[in-house]
Amino acid sequence: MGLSVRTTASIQTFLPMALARSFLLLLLTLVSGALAAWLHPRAVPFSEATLVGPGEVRLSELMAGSGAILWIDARSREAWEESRIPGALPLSEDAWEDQLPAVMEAWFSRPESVLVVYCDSRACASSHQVAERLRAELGEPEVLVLHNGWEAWLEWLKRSGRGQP
Amino acid sequence: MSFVRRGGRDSGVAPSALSGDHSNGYSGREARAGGWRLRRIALWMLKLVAMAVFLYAALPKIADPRAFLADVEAYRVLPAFWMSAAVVTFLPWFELWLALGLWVRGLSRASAWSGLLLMLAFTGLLLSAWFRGLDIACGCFGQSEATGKYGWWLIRDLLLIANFGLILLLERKPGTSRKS
Repeated sequence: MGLSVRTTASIQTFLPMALARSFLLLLLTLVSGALAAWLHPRAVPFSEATLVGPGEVRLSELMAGSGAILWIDARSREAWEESRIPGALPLSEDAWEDQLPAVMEAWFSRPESVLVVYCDSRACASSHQVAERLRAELGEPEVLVLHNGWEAWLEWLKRSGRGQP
Repeated sequence: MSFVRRGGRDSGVAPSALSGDHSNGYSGREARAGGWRLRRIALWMLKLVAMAVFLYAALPKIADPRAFLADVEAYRVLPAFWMSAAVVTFLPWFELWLALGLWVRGLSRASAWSGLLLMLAFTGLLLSAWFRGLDIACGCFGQSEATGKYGWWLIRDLLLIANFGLILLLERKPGTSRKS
């Protein structure tokens, strides 16, 4: 009994004081975080639109437009076989020579289409590498990278209530 | 007077020293002092562990907030992007300040409470991700870790919760605990 009374009493005594002092921690956090957000070169912007890198395009923009899109899947072959954006063709740097002809053929049959490359998520770099190589080899400036890649597609499917393909 | 008794036991003083009238005798005071020393050492070690873990967690995230963003978003808890951005921007600094605050007189208890509540929140998030079957990285230490090792992460969280709980228990002063 003695223990529980003492525990309760000490919680009553110290919790409010500790909470009040936690505000000092919060204040320090706010100031340093705000400074980092302002000065840090790798700071995360609070608006996602500004996070879209050069050469990247958001899925919502593509879906809003009416132009033809030729999807290029820069993920692994296994991932492509399992599931992909409808009509997407696989193209990775490892199997470039084997996979490029199919991409070229599809593009020549619909030259007005925009090439959009995607990989797994924002963290992967293969979509940028594939897009870079396509631009260099095809002399085609209209190669875009899907911002957030496959994750953006899954998110879009979820939001539009279509489930996984 | 459980504190005297506990102090006597922890100090390792011979039982004969405790069997007498130790409430005002020299040996009792010595035993109590020994207990307090042990308690201080334990407290110091617990704080050191908590600080080391929290600094190890905070510094990589402070160095590269964008790498941490993917981990936060993978939990799929925060509905808006700006919320993830706020977590990525401020959470590592909070971890840093509370790790350092453990050593500041007047701030240590607040830091320990903050650490405890933060760990409880992290554990709740981890459990929710586990129940939803997400195959994600913990994001605990801001670097790419293996995904889906929920059992191990949970044990780690519970150990840290126990660590902060013990800090709070040991930080109580005997005199104040009887008042109010």
